[in-house]
Amino acid sequence: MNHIQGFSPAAASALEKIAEEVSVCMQCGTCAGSCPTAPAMDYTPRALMRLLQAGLFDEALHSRTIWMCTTCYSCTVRCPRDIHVTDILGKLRGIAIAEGYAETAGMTFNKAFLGIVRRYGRMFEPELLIRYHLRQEPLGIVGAAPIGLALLQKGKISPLPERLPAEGLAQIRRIFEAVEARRKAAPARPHPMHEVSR
Amino acid sequence: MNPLRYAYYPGCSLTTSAKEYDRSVRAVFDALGVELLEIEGWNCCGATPASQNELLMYALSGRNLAWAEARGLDVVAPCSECFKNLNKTAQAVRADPAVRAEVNAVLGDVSLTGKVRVKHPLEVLVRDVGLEEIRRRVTRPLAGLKIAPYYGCLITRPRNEFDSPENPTAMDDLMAALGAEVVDYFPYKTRCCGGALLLSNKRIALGMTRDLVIKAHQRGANSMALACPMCDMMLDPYQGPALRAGEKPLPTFYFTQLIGLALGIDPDQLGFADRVVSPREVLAALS
Repeated sequence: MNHIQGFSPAAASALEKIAEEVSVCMQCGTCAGSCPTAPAMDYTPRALMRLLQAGLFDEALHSRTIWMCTTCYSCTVRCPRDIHVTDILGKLRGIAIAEGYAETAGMTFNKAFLGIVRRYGRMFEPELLIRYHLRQEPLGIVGAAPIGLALLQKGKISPLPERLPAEGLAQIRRIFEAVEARRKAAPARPHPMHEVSR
Repeated sequence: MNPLRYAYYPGCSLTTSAKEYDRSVRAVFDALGVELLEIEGWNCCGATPASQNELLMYALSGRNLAWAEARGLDVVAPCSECFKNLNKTAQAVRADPAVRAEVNAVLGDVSLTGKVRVKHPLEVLVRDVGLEEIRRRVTRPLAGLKIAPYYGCLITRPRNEFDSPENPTAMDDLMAALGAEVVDYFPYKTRCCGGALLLSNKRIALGMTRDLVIKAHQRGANSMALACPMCDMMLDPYQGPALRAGEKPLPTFYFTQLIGLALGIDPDQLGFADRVVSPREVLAALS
């Protein structure tokens, strides 16, 4: 059975590349031992690499692991096989979003964040907080209020977004559109490993 | 010797929550005769969420790098997250012609050759200005400060050209040159603060931050030096929520605030009033 089946061509192509990279993983566990949030994951980074080696992409994309990564890069700098574990988890987050996996807290955060960058060209924290909390734990905004007020008092939160000038904003929008068009157009590269199982 | 001159990428945090980082970087660089030209119309680097699409991260970062490259300047980026994204982009565009072509195709009206380099202010100060020069300019040694130098994750990881990812020493050396006592903060100096999970997994993130404060106290620190706005968010405004009742808070500073102080720059220019954990007591012990 070809494990890449069931995904869009763009996702299948990205997963093929990831599978190729993790094929050299020898399951030493250095990544798991280095990961500060491994205890909160369902699969440690080592176990996640194993899932990917086994072609169990759907399990990997459903995992809590990809959303518990803080991107500290401890695993990456220590990997004796030079696998870019942190970047692979990042790519899996992108695939999970693009393929419509169930929305996690981290997914809400990423979507809201990049939406704001696309709209203004820069971050606007108050909107990020509001958008996040509207979808995930609306009452959390109450908990965040005291610190928000303290920061507002110190002039550390801007009440209005700082937008790029129109020309810059148009460039940012073009970047997002061009990247999305390229992602969708990515050719599905057949990988020998999976051709065998086809 | 030619005066040092760089393109300056403040990044979003330095205009809001980390404004004292911005002020102190500018004040210190100015005092040391290093010129910073702010990149016109700079945009957000995409931070951690952009890691979900490498090309997006390269393109968002690359638009800023192109401004600098067109003027023959290297880039200084104080925020660790921005530094990591911009540096990763510069490295990838330099090393891989296929990546360069793809990034340039997405960028459209600007382009990159790969010549541009990205530096963290720590690197500029320790390598380009030099510790000797900084030591020579100290007018107000920081005797009495026992500093835990906290590097966080992204200055040295995944890869840079100036310090160790496991046990970096640039900030240790710099703080020592200012006359401060530097406590041995290995291995916590590069342990993650959890900042990326502050919204999505708050309890876990605060636990990681609490651990850093407790360990710094155990090593005998009375303050901590920071180099990242997200670490700062955790270790200053969110330090209170991270600690349990009765646990002692630890004043934290951007490392550039401390340099400014030692160089004799007016503390009002360095944004000490912007700190949430009050630094008054530890600063009073200085003189």
